[in-house]
Amino acid sequence: MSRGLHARVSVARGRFRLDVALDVPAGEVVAVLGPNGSGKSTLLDVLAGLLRPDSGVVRVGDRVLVDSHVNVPPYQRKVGLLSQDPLLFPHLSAVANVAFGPRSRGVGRRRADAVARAWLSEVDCAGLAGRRPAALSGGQAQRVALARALATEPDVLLLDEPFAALDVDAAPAVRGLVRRVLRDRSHRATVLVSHDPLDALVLADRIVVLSDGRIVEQGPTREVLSRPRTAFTARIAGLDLVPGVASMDGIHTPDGSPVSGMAVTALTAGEPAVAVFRPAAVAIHLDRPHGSPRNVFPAVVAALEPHGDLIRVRTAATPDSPPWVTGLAADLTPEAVAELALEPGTAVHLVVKATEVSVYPRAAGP
Amino acid sequence: MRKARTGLPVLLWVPACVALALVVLPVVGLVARTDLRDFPSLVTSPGAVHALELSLRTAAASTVLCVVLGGPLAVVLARSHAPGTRLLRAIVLLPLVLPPVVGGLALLYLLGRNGFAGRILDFVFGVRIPFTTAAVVIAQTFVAMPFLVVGLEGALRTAGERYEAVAATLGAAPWTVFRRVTVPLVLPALGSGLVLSFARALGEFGATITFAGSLEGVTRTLPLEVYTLGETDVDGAVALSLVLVLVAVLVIVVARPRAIEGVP
Repeated sequence: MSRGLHARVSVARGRFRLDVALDVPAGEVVAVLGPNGSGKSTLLDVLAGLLRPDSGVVRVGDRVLVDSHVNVPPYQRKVGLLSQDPLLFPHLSAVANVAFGPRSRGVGRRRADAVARAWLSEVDCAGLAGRRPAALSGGQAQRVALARALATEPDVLLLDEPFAALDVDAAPAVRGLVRRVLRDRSHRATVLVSHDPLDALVLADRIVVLSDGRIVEQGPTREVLSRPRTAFTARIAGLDLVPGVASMDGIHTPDGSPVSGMAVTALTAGEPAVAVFRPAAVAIHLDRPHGSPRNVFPAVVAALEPHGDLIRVRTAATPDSPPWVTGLAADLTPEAVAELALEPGTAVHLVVKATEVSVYPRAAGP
Repeated sequence: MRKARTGLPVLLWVPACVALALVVLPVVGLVARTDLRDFPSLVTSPGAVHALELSLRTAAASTVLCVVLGGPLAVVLARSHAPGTRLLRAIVLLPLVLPPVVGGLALLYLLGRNGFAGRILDFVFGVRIPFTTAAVVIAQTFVAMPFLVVGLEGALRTAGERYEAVAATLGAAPWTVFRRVTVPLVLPALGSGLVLSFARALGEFGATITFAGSLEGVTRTLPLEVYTLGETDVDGAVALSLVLVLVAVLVIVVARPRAIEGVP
């Protein structure tokens, strides 16, 4: 009997409306990505039982958590939650925090203590058992919080931006730990909410992209991140995306300007499509280049920011460039930026070879 | 290493010193006025001992009532999302701003022989509350409860519901959450609320004398004894006042209400 999560919920909050259908088979990790206000947290609150949806069904296997007659309270759901803030109970030691769940479910004191210690060593925190949360670092606290969430053996695990509050040194280790722990226990359905595509890449089997309370894109992780169909997904995947309709050799954008590229799948001219390219494939020229390149877009430098060893140049539209130029990114070496003397406000031409531009059908929705 | 200060305007020191003097000097004056040779005999007179004993008993009882009744009220006020909660929150503050004499009168017209609740109690149970020790406890609870409720409610709201939500996802039923998470989180605030309510109950005068009268051994608490003695035996009144000061200092030193010290 599969213990996967099945949820179909709608929640109306003033003008905001969440309408989502989500299936997570046991053993699978689904990442829910989306901009702020897209409804990610609302969805998690509904799954955890902290918010009752206006209508819908939530099931784990054949156990009904929510339908029109039932709303199982959080403490009977067997749905674990790990949020951005570890929220360890400050008055309890690490091991007592982890033992809290088993104790609440009626496990005896000694047995719960043993379970808690086993989970603490599972997250490499066996030596911290006696410490109060105030004496733990951010990364240690989040590990202990993970052990606490898992010690109740939940059927569904909800991870709400679990690494967002950790500093850059601690995050990779905890992310690796979560990956290891999730892989080891394959009977559980896991929902990960994040804004960081790296979390999804490392942890998730599938990605669901939420926007304005709706799923606008979903599929296997790598596929979604490498072939984004919405501007949001493109941005989180670190890609440039231009929407339009398919043409013979690329797309036509809404303002009429063409973007040349290579269709990845069969497209009929006129159907909604997107042109996608990597920022590293964008060259920047001060003067309009002569010769073969077909994709030349006038722009103005909006911002420069470090991006690994490169400099990411964000551009904005000028009066004589198409409006979608705003927000495009180009990755240049520091030498190139220095040579061109780029600074915010510099007028430039962006050049992208047509062979670097991939064209996909566009996802429905925004 | 000393922390660098940004410097205080010198002008603030003058009113600050005056304020401090206003608090400290009267107590100094009281101590100076006390006849220390007669002090032991003055504070061990039967009237004084009865009053002290009654004060400690009633203040302890009303502190227990404050916790048993006011604690749950604070939780409800802090956690309820029902409309009208804000209004309730304001009403709870009433005894804090109302002159205690008015509070005493209000209690008298509720629980007195002609009050509507008093009449029922008298008629159905044969119980008369005014001018009994129970009346003292009720009057003290009336004036002291807001101290506990306000402090506790603030602490509950600061602690937030997130710990409780996490505890629920870990499988803890509401009562377990309350017992193992909510209460421990606000324990410091409960402690300081307890001390404040006890101190306020101990010093209660206006509501008590209006609602419970001043019967020696029954309703004449220490402040009432001080007032009564003040008309005939000034030395005795001063000596008993010093006892109240000592108790107050003891409360501050031993229990150190955190809210007062500005420690969250």
